[in-house]
Amino acid sequence: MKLPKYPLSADNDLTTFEFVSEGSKGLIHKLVQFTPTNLKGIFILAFGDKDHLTGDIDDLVISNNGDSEKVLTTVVATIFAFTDKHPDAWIYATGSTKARTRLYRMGIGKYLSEVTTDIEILGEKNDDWETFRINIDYDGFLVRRKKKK
Amino acid sequence: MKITTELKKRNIPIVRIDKSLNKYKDTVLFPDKLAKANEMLRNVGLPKQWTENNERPTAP
Repeated sequence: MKLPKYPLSADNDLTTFEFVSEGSKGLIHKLVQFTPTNLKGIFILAFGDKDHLTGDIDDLVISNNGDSEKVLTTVVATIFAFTDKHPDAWIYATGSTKARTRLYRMGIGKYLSEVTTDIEILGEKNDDWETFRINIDYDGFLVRRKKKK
Repeated sequence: MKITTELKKRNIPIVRIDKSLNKYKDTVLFPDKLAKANEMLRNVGLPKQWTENNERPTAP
């Protein structure tokens, strides 16, 4: 995606990423982590604000830094980086609140044609999975890299 | 082709390795979200459209 995004730092395994959001509220450090679930090869993606002094992570805080789109495109960039190293991984993502899940859904919908050249996205709805469709409310999302032919 | 051009073409971001982030390697930063995801996977399961050809994700 050629959309603006923040520079990324990561650990050696490319499972934890950090970037700094810059906006009306100043500098806010964000952490993104890919964590294995109980099912082999399936990870969750989660991110939140890092308290620069204490190191505590908060995924419920509303930062209101005026850069939500740039934050989302940066988080999407971490998916590409993580799956470049772990090409067969499947990633599950959902918001910490329904409002956030809806925000993610809108972000995915807005840039769907750009990301789906490289990734497949399913939406979780009514305890089932369907190919992601724009303007449909989902409870979560499952993502994997497309196989190169 | 220059490396940066190739990376841009493939949507792969340039990531700086920060060894200070290695401290999170064995830490689950979002345990509530992980618990909810595990419960979802138990209740909903894997998508048939991705598993009907015996496709399964493989762990790194």
